[in-house]
Amino acid sequence: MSFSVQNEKTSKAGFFTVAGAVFWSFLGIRRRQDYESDAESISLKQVVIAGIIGGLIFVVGVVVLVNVIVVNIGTAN
Amino acid sequence: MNTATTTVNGHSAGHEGHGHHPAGLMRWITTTNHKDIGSMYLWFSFAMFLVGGCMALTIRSELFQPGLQLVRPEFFNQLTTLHGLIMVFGAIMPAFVGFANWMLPLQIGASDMAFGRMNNLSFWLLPPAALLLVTSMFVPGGAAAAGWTLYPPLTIQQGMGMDMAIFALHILGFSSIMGSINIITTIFNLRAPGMTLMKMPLFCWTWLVTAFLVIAVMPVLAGAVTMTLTDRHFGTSFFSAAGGGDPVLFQHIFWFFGHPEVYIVIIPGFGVVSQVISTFSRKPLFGYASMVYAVAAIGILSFTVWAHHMYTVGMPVTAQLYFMYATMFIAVPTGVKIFNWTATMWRGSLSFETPMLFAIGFIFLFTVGGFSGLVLAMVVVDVQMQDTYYVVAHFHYTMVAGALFSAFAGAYYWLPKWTGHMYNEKLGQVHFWLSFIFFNMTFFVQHFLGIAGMPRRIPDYALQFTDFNQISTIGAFGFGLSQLLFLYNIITCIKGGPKAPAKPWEGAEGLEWDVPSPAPYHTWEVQPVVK
Repeated sequence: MSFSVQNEKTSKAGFFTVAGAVFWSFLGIRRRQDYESDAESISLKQVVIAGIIGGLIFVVGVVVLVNVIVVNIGTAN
Repeated sequence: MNTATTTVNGHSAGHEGHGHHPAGLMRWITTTNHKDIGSMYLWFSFAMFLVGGCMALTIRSELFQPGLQLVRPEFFNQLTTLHGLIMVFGAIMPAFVGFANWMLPLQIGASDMAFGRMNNLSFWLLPPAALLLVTSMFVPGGAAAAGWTLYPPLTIQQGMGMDMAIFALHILGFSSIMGSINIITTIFNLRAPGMTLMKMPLFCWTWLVTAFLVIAVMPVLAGAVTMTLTDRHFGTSFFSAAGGGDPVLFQHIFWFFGHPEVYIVIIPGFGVVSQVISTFSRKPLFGYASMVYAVAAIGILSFTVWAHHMYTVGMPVTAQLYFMYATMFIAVPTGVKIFNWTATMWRGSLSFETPMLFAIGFIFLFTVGGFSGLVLAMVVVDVQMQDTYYVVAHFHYTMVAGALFSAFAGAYYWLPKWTGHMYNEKLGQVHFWLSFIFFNMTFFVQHFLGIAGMPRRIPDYALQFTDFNQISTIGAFGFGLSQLLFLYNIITCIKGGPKAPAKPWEGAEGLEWDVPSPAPYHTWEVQPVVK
């Protein structure tokens, strides 16, 4: 996660690179090698936007999971 | 981690001890120097720690035996409320802002914080806020007595002490937001050449995330207490059921602030502990990248779990399950940190000076607090435990053993840099062991009280809770008195003691150890170059 602010203009990370970085951040794990390449390529703006989107996806994912569970409670027996 | 190639302090050292600033009281009132302001923050927070601590000891004295002995129940409620507000907003938060003021510029190679005058104002807003909180005990009706969470309808019904608490929170919020803007700007704009964000010490990283959290949530708290204020005086009914409002709405707004606030309090402590453990293990931090990722993730996820504080107020089972799962998930990045600290120590060349003892104590006890948090995250368990002493035990394991122990670790770690003298190591270690033993004596037994059903914030209790309460009270006095050792150690360290070298800790890394001890009044006037 980068994020040299000065490097913002030279950012070249693609969608999947940023999404991957955010995914691993939610687990709290990252290889040093990948981290260093993230830091080279991902801009601060990208990581903030991707982090917020990641947070929304997480919330929606848990809400869907919970709804599936609640709907199936009645049918379990 | 960083190698500064500079002789910058040749100039600075010449001004040591006599910077260009007014003398006496005016120095402290008008200062824009980050070290002066950092010192004032630290002294202020310690003073508030003693005030809040005295309140805690009065609470524990009343609870030494069942029945009402020392204080009236109304005053007991005021004490629990003020103890919480003072410790969170007056002691712990300012303590870490003090660390940030002192250490951030030194660690990133900046000559000062970005906005010197705003920094001065951030600090000087604190004493009036503290005065408002403390003097509210003496106004008609007494201080706010609704608990630090300030739930309506109690807050709508109380006297002018409540208004004083609301105003104090507004002021404290202003101060925190300004402090955070300063920290973010300093980190983004004043880093030394070569000090990329990924080379920053973890303390800077944790403060960067914390500062964003502060800016995001303090206005939410300000909104909630302002709505309370208008409900009280201007005829609105945001939270008043009588006028069609909803008291539960306040709880949602408060905890949308309150849960990130928990992380605001603890995340800078993560940074301190990371540096201390790395230093005294004589190894670089294991998984620096993971730590940065985990802190950032916790920052984002902390906004998604607030209602686990209020399972019992009534919400759909879907919502209960959502908050339960989300809360359990947020434990994953936190667990990664515990793993990283442990792995840093693994096969390290360990030594156990006082900062390291507090850092290891932090890991042990914060893990206990984290696990009891997971217990409370389960809806079915929480319905039983809500508002019992189990909750009190849980959050004191995170706030005291977490935030406070990491602040002690940081204070001992950087004290030689601040004062130019080594503190008394033996006394520091005694301070640790007494704190560790008495802390557990005070709070571990409260788990049992909570499971047995003793409610919190009540000055009386049933007879069967007596034994554990007496143990807890004795522990609390032991813990409180142990802190006087800390004060004594600091004062003697400021006054004299063995001269501290620029880098008193063998394994320490970072720019702050390149400047002499005590750090000159002006440092890094010429920025170092970091390789």
